[in-house]
Amino acid sequence: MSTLEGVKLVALFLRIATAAAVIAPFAVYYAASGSLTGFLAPKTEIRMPNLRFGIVSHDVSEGDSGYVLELKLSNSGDVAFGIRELEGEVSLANGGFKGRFSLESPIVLVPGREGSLRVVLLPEQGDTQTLADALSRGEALNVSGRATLVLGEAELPLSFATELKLSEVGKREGF
Amino acid sequence: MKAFRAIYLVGGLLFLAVALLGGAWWELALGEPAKPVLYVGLSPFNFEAKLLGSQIVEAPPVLNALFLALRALTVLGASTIVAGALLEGKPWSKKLLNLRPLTMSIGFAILVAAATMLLPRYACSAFPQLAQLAPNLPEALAPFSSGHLRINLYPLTRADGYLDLAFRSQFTPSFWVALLSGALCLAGWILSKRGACKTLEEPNP
Repeated sequence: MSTLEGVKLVALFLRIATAAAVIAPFAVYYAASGSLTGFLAPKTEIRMPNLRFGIVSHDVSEGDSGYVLELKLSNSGDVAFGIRELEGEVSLANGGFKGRFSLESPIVLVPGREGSLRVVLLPEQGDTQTLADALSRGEALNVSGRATLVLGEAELPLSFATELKLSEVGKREGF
Repeated sequence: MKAFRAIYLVGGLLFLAVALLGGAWWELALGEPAKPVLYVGLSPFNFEAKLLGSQIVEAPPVLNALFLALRALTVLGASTIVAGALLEGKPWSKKLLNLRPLTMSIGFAILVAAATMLLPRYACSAFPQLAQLAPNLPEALAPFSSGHLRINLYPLTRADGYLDLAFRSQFTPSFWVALLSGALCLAGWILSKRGACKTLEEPNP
């Protein structure tokens, strides 16, 4: 076999192999799907997890290491929900209270369960009576900080800043 | 073995490994990278989208066929590079050497860059609520972004505030290995052309 024939043969082999590599998968998948519609249409099986939780009650009490804000949460969705880390600053919009908060212990609620989220609050300005009075009047809180949420097996680190009214959050369900 | 063939050989083996091992070339992760809430991975051979660890969208058969064809072409291209580099004595061996690793990795990068630049801008203009909800979505989606996606809370809660969610959009090591193999093949191609020019310039005895 001459060199020229060898080169032509290799080029022919490569062309055939390339065509086969392209045609074969399309033929196999088309045959398996049965129809052109089934072949072209995406199988969108969007199984959105239902993330729902509510704040059942809230309470502020004095503890050994500061003041404890206790939120009783209920998980009414179908995915475990929790908080692994939480720390930040809280202040009343009217300036009567300012403090730092951190999570006492991580919490994960499986679907259908209730549990208490205990946040330790260290006042830097004002006292908790001022805070409790303001909360009962439905005054707004400025809350900022960072947290790590647990959603099923996943974790979501985030930072946040918001103006919050606890009375409204209690009525508002969802995520 | 000539230098250009050794370089082609390394490039071909790297590209073959990338094609056989699979894995995403570009990925987007919302949340902790090891345990993401939302994960989207894309390569010329595969696409996956997972929410909380469960697959949410299955690619249509036509796309799976395209991915399989691309993988087969990649394996073929890488194998021919390796064969061409090793079969030095055969006069047709240079026919086997190709630049597929370079064209495929650069083509993929251009496609991803265009998609991540254009799609969020289109989505934000088509759905103004999305632009309100996630004002930095276009920047967050671009590869090598700031690492956070800002969610404006006002449209959701009517309370001023925001969430900065951990968010990552990046080319993966698999992509960089593919690009490296492409660069090696390009270097091999340049060296082989220089060698051919020198051979032509040498006077006949």
